[in-house]
Amino acid sequence: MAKAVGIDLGTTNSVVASVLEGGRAEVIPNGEGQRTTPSVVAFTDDGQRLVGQVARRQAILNPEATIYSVKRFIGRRWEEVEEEAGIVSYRVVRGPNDAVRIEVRGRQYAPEEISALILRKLADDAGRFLGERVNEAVITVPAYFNDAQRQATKDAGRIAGLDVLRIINEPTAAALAYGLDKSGSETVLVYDFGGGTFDVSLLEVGDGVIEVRATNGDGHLGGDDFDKRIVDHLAEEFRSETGIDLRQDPQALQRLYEAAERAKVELSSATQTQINLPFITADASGPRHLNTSLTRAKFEQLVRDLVERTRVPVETVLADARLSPDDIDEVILVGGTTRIPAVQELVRRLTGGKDPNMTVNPDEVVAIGAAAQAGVLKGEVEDVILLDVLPLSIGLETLGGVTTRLIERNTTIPARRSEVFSTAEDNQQAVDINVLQGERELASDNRQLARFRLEGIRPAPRGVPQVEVTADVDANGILHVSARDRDTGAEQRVTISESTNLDTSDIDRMVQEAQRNASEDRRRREEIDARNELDALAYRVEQLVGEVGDRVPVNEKARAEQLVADARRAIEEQAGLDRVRPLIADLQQMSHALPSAAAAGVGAGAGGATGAQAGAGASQSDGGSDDEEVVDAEFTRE
Amino acid sequence: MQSSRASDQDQRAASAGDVKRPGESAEAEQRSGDEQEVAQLRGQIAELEDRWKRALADLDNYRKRLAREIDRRVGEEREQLLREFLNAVDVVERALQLGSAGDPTYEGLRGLLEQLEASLRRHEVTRIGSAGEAFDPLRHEAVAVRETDDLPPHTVVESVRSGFALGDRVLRPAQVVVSRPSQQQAAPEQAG
Repeated sequence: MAKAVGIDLGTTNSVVASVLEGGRAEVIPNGEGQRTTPSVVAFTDDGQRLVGQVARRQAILNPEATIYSVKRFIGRRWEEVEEEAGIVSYRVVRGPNDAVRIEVRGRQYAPEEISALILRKLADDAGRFLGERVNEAVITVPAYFNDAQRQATKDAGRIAGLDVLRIINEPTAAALAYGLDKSGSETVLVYDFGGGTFDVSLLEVGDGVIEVRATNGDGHLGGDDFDKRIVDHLAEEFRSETGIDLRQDPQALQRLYEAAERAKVELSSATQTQINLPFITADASGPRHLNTSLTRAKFEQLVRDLVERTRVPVETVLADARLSPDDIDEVILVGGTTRIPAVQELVRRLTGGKDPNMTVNPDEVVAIGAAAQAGVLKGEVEDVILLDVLPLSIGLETLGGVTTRLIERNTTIPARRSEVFSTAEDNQQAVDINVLQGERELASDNRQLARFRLEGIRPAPRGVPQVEVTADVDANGILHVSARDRDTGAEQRVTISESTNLDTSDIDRMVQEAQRNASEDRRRREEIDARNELDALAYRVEQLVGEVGDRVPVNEKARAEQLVADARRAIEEQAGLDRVRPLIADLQQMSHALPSAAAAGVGAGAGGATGAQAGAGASQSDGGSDDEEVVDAEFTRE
Repeated sequence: MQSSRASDQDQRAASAGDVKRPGESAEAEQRSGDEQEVAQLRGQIAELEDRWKRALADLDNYRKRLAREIDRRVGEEREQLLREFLNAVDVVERALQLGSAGDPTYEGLRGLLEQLEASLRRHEVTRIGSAGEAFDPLRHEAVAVRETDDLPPHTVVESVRSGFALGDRVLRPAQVVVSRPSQQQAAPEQAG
């Protein structure tokens, strides 16, 4: 079955997305590897048509035949766009029936034809990525587009050889990308601040239908204006220091723009950024460098009025829909400019302090929503079963009271995980399985879901029995935990039904608690892990002393016994890492030294047979605790 | 094998038994109801099996795409890192443009540039876009136009910032000044 794509046909940039495996919509990179494609078409004098980045690169050579912002003309009548036509570098003329035509090298093109070239490139690149030709698409248009503009966009798709499944509004696509159509009735504000345009729309969602209640905006306001503010600021600063206006030098200006955009992006995450343009120019005194820094505060001051210009449109859509900020249920941010903290801050203030949705990349959210819509229309999304995720990790309490996680939180369910555990003491006949839920390191900080006991383990040294514990969360969120003794086949199991139906507020609280205590928990866990390691080593050395002690020098044996005693005392006193770590090192050394000392002793004397036997015994107990499937952490002692 | 043959015989025996008792409508109804249910369940099994196989195929395809995607991302990261690094190369080149030969600092910078270029070459990064090449927007970004009759039109007159390619992929196009015939020549061309 052929894939249908979703296309965000933008004024400055366009994006294509498609539903991929598992019914998820994702953006498809273009032939050049970019996720967005400039909406630029060029006709070269040797008859080539260039689309996207390559068209933009030759714009200065060929300004009359490089067509950008064609979206401003599509489906419009001549008198509606006369002013706009004067701004662009190519020729816009009046066509038949007051239509708008673009004249390139004596030939007239309808705006639809130009848009079609962009659409075809996007569809071709998507087809190459998907491995099949793309013939169907959902295309988005601004909510304020009239019927003629929508029809013209649809025609553009047809000229591109695409079957346009549907034309949908950009804010609607954004709401679809967040799956808001599946929620109950809601009022959604979509704030779309792109590279060159600003749009705000108020949507009413109900019964799977999304309706645009009101829309407003500013057709000539965008991120490019922000860049220009930074450029002007840097150029002015430089001029006051050197008397040179960098804006007069096209190459310097180009570098200034690149630096300004980078600074703008960096200031979305950092509060200060460095701008270095060494050797930007030269005068009689030699090379000149631009080395300065820009703080976020200064940047915000430079663009305050631009950000403020979005206030009235937002207030207007609310007034038009007769709603107050408190009536808004969801806010969605679209467009790269919404990454700027000052913009987010204004949106928050204008919408009654609501936290806006911005988890989907704001440059891609419209295309993703369009692709999701295409998937639904093609019946690809219909079959998708919404899979739940495990809200909190499931684990077991192991030696020293720590939590050993079996299934991590956010694992998509159904899911099953098994791990093999062992005993903590010699001849331990039963293990307690304490099933825990939560993100904390210590068992006592997590929620206990169940506790059961597996008995009848055959007497064996610690670390030898193998108990396989399996946690299985089925599609309904019901947790089954079983423990099986691999030796006897004995098994115990428990079913817990309420493991996943916690309140979201409880889940959030538990996750936050875990984050807050993360470093303290980690420290305590490290200590316990170290003490467990020390305990295991002390046990091993004690065994070794028992096996080979009579063949090693007396002082060596005494030292080993002393170390074991020290270790036991440290464990009993719950000593910290500073005391435990050196003991671990000493015991490790001892566990290597004893067998070789014994071998040396044997070589000198008689009784080679017993020595070999003892050696084998030691290595076997070694193998027991280091068995690849046996987890170092062991069950709590009885 | 044996047991399955035995059950076949059982079934045959049972159906033979059925034939002997015709006209028991309640039983027939019951049977057609059962058959319907069996057909329905078979349909359900087929559908579930189809879904299950699709889910497995999806996972398999996802795994394959992920492998490709990882390659692409790793490549992208590498290119990104190289691009950042090229900024430093630019600075050295510009410093040399503005400096004068013979000056010790100039000579030092020239050594540095050679060193940088040697490391780039070791990583298969080559310089693209020098004067005299025909303008190609895949490799060049036009930043200015210069009227000249010394070069054919649409030729790189000067590279103001070097471009670089990694193998055959353009890491960054060269920023170039491109030739244009002087006005008196351009006029007849436009008319033609």
